Parts: sequence; C-alpha cells; structure tokens
Amino acid sequence: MSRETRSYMLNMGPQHPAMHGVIRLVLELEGERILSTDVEIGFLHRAFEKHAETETWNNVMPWTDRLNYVSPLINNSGYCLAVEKLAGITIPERGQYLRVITSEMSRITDHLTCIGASAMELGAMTVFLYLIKAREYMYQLIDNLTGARITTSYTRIGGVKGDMPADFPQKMREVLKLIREAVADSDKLLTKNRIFMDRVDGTGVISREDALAYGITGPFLRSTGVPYDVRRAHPYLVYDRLDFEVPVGSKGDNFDRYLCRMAEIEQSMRIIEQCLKQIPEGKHSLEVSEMKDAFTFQDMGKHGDTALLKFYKAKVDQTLAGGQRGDRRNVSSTNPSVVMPSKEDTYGSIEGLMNHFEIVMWSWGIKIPAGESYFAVEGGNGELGFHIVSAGDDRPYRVRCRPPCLNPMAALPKLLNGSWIADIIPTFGSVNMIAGELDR
Amino acid sequence: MAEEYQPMGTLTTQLNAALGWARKYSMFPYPFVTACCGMEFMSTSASHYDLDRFGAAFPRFSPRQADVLMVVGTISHKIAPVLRRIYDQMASPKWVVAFGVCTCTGGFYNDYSTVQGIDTIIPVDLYIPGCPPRPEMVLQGLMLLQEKIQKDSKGLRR
Amino acid sequence: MITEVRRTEPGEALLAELKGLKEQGYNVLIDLTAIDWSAVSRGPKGDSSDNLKRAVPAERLNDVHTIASAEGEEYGTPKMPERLSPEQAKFYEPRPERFEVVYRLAKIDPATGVDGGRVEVRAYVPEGEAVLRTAAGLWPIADWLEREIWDMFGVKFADRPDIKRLLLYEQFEGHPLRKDYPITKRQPLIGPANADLPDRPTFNLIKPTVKFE
Repeated sequence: MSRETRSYMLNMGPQHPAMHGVIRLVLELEGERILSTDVEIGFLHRAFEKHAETETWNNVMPWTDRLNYVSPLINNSGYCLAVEKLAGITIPERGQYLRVITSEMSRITDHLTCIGASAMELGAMTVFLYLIKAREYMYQLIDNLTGARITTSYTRIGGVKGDMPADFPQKMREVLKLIREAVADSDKLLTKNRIFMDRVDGTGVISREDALAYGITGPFLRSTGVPYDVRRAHPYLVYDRLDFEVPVGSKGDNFDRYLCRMAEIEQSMRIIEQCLKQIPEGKHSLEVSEMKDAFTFQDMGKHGDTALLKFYKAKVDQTLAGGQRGDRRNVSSTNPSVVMPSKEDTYGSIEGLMNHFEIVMWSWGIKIPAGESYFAVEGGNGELGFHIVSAGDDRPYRVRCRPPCLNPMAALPKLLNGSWIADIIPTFGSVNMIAGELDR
Repeated sequence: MAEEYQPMGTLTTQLNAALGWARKYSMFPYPFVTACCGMEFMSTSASHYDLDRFGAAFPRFSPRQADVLMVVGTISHKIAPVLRRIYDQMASPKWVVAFGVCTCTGGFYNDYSTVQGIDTIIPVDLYIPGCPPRPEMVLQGLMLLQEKIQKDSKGLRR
Repeated sequence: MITEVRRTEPGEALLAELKGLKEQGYNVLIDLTAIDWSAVSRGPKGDSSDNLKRAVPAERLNDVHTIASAEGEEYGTPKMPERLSPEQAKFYEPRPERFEVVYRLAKIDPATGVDGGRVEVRAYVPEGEAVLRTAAGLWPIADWLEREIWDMFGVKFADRPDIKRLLLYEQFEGHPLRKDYPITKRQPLIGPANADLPDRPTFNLIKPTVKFE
C-alpha cells in the first residue's frame, strides 16, 4: 500500500500576536517541521526616502525618529552625523557627549523592549512587566531631556536641540540603579530557567560565514563570534574616549543573542556613567543676576533701547529653540550657515536677524554643499547607515537609510528551514525586527 | 433591518444599563499593532499606566473573541485589506479605536502608500490623536469609550 | 571611514569587478542603492527643468505635484545656486544615464571584527532594458536589495526574470522613488472590496512534494 503525503502551507499572516509589527511568513510545513519559508515585508512602507526628498534638511528629523521607533535618538544622531560629514561641521564636545548619552539611552530602551517582548511570547509575563517598567523610567528621563518620550527629534544639523537640565545627572544615576535591579531580576528569572533554555538554546543557529554573507551586523553577528561593532571599527562622536566592552557570543543561537543583548544593556549603562563624568562643563542655566524678565526685555526693545539688549540675557525657558547664547554654544556649533542664532542676536542685531531669516525662510534655509556622504552608526540592531546625496539645495536630493534588520530578515529562511514551528517565536523575537526600519 | 423604536419599560432600561456596565468593564481589546504607537500601547498596558484597571488587560489575539479593535500605528495600503478583513470577522457588539494620528487622518504621511485615516475603510468609535499619544491620553480616551459603550448599549438587540 | 570609489560599466564589467572584489576578501555587501539623476543633470538649455521634462512622458506632465510657493518649484527639483564652486559645478554636469547604482562592500575579518576597508562600486544604468547582472550568487542579501531597487526605481536585472516587488504591493503601478513620481499621488485601495481580485494568496502555492511507498 502506498501513501502520499503533502506538505501543508501555513500563513503566519501580516497580523500575528507577537507584538513585533507586521510581517508575513508563508511556511511550508510537514507536520511541525518547517520545510521552506517565504518572507513578505513591506506592510509598513511609509515612504521615508521620498519624504526626505521633499523636506528641508532639519525637517527630515521627525521622519528619522520613526524609522527604528524603539531607539529614535540613534536614528536622529545617525542622520545628523551623515549630513554634518558632508558639510564639514563638527559640533562642540558637550553636544557630542549629549548625543552619545542619548544614543545609549535609546540602545537601552531598544534592548529592554526586545528582551521583554520575546520573553513575553515565550510565556514569561513577569519579565515583560519588569523590563517595561525599567523602560518607563528611561522614557521619563528622555522626556525630561528632549521633550518627548518616543519620537524625540532631538538632534539638529549642527548640534542638539537644547542642553540637559541641571538635575539630569542625579536623576540618571538613580534610574540606572533601578534599571540594574530590573535587569538583575529578569536575569535571575530567565538565564538559568529550564523552560527558557529549552526553547532558546540551540535554536535559530547561523554560522559566521552565513551571517557575513547576508550582511548581518549588530548583536546578531556578535552572537556568532565576530566582534564587529561600528563604535569600535569606525569610532564616531566621542566613543574612542570611552571604555566599554563588546559582548561576543560563540554559537550563534538565540540564547547567545539574548545574552549579548543583556550584556550590552550593562555596557550602555557604563558608557552613560562615564559620559556624565567626562562631559565638559557648561552652564545649565544662567545666573539669576544676569537675567531680566522677558517682559522687561520686550519693553526695552519697544522703547528703542536696542543697544542695551546686547548686554542682557533674557530669561526664557530653556526648551525654546535659540535660548541663551551661552547655553547654546555648548551643545551646538556656531556655524551660522546651519545653526539658528540665539534670540539675543536675532532681536538685537541686524546680522542675527538676517541669519535667522536665511535659515528659516522658505527656499532659503540651510544649504549643505553638493556631494555625497555615507555615515554608519551602531543602531540597536546593527550598522545603521545613511547615504546622503545633496545637490547644494535646501533639501536633500536623496536619503538612503541602510536598515540593519533587513539582513536577518532576509536570512530568516536559512534560520528557520529544518526546525520546528515552535522555534519561530524565539528566533523571530531575537531578530528584533522593527517594521519602521525594515520597510521605511 | 428594522430598527424601529420600541418604547422601553423600566425593566429593559435597567437591563440595558446593566449590560452596558458589564461590557464597559470587561473590554477585550484586539491590538492591531503596526508601528511606533505600539510602544505607547505597550507602556499603557504594562504596570505603570495599567490597562488592567479598566478590565482591558488581556488582549485577545483572535478577532472572533475580541470586541474592541484597537488600530495602533500607521495603516498602509498593503495592510488595509487585512484590517478590513479582521474588522469583518469580529462579532458585534464591536468598537474601533483609532490610536495615534496616523490612523485618525494619516498623520504627516501624506504619501502614496498610507491610508489617510482608517475611517475611510472601517467605522471608528474613538479617535486618540497624538504622535504617539501619551499613555494618559490613551487612558482618557478609553474612559470616553467606556461612557460610549455604556450609552450605546441597546441590550440584547445589539 | 575611508571608502575607495570605483566606477565601471554596468553589466558584465560590473559583475566581474564585484567577483574580483569578493575574491580579494570583501565578504560583506553592506548596501546596494540607486540614485535617480534626472532632476539635477543640466540639459543643453542649462536649467534643470529640461532634463526633468525629458524624463516625464508628455501625458503625465500635469501629474507632477507643485507647491504653492513664490518660485513655483517642483518637489525634488533643486534650484541650482547662482554661484557654484568648481566641485559643485561638477555635480551639476549631465550624467551619461538616468540612474546610478551604488554597491557598498566591506571587508570584515571574522576572527577579529576589524573592518579592513570599504569600497564603493558605482555604475550608470540606463532606464528601460535590463543591463545589470544579479549579484545574488556572490552575496545572498543582494536578492532582496535588487528587489527593492526594482520596486522603487524600476531598474531591471537581466538574469532575474521573476523579480518581485519587495516593499509595495503587486498591484501598485509605477516606481515611487523616481523623480517624476509625485509623493501625494494616490492609488486605489486593493483588497476584497475590489471584487476582481482573488481573495486568497496567489503567490507561492505549494505543490505536493513527498510521496511515500
């Protein structure tokens, strides 16, 4: 008697319970074993690259936030660094330290979200709640610094939006202590947990050569044993002065990726602590005696006392763009062709007013010299590269974002073929696919 | 279908109110999460801003078991038919929450690939604007939805 | 990041160059992008609008989205500044073809993680006939990156007959990242409401594979 079997097609459709976003996997199954996988992406295509061609250089910032939306400050920094490389601008040290601090804060939130969500799908609901609570502390700090929790748009061409508040270092130290406790608790719950290890150990294995052939970077590549980190290979901002380790795995399976991410959270916290020690001095806010009330300032201007305005500084809220001149100089470059002048200069001198006009008026704006540049930063998932083409105009000609999570997604068939359905969940969780970045 | 007005007596009004009370305090959300608003949805349902206080903690990942469809994040043309199909698969009574400005009006994605507001595809009961909305806004929106569920309850007829 | 830039002809020469680089140890294809130069190359009249109009077919000229500004510019068309430095003037020269394809390669040592150098290989590609050869045999990621270039720019690859879109849906018409595609152009919604489309996946139907005796 002969029997005939067929393989069975299962569609893990665009909407599935793993809170990772929208992706479609068409699996060919034989029983529970996966024979082949077909990955379909593009369900969140939001035309980032096309929008970037229609917006001015600074206006592209909100669109870059929404690329990798769990670590938006890294995308902001990456885009600004690429444009500044083309324009030949270096921002002052305090601004560079601030960009590093915010990038590492974003990296912490990225890894916390990834581990929390993957753990939840494997059944560890408590770990999700602990890590999201830890992420919440970090969001509150990001809110204090930048003004928004998630979509921050913090950096500008030529600097950052504003300096950090006076109590920021103190709050940061407390928050880092709390995050360390939460990560230690999750570690105790997961790392030697029999159930977790059975699901995650030995699944989703990829070899070094395959990972490099697919162009995979980031924790995925480091779990296979290649210690490639853009912060070490091509140091940018102030990473060459900071002491941190790059955690490297050996087997290339999901467990190694989980351990790499946990270790990277700790390393990011070390980087933030060093930055807070090393950051050059700058005044957070001006001394009271130097400040006059905003109404007095306005009255002086109306009465024609504009000559005196140059000697006084208006007491304006620090989150207003172009606040006190001394403050801005610490975190933004003084290059007048890209950075807005401070309010005192705008209202106090004709050169400042013209400078302000030229940056803000339609079809004037910041002009970046014609040319191309590529800049790579280390995102949460790997090498996040921006390839900028400028035609010398007030808006980009072409912005290409090299998404780090496209590479593991293209390698998913290699990771999943031959394994069980139950291995899809930890493997897909460890890819940390962020649809905003994948589909742009 | 005949939706004629039938005068309701005391017993049926109280029954409707009781059913509205029961429905509003036991919402089963279906989180249709696509994009960045999903991070705020996660924050809202986690322990700091708790959705469990509203009885809406446990997401039902099958549309046939859910009654509140929370559309979280940008809807592109490619996923719009999927959204429509999921809405059609839900059984009444059902409510739809447009979470985030991309679902309300398309957000700042005025382009060739984003649906300019999901109310072009499915009827929406609650709009929560914001990019992304803070969890406090989400909770206020959910409280408004609860009032709507209470008032909307037509008892066993709906 | 020091990047060496090389330029070749598309087609066989490009593939040979890439193969040579792979043998020299460039084991990672970091990125593969394309650029549409139709809006910046100057035509014989000396203004950018000349080349753009040549790129847009006559019946579609009114589709180009114009913004209500004083100068009446079109999106994506830069205004050439009056005073150009010599480097910038070089940028505005007409390009030989409409598209340019950029391969970015890196040499990453698997043992030490050191990046040994980056190379950018560029080639001008005409629109229309398929000239480029696929690099998927050298680096498997090139498969998806080429699909994305076809999707966004409409640049075909010669030995890939069944190239599929990657980021957009199959029924989408046009190639959005071209300079003559306006960003706010709307396409009709797809799905079950359009009754002539089958309501089931039409790709990748699995045929029976295993026979037991």
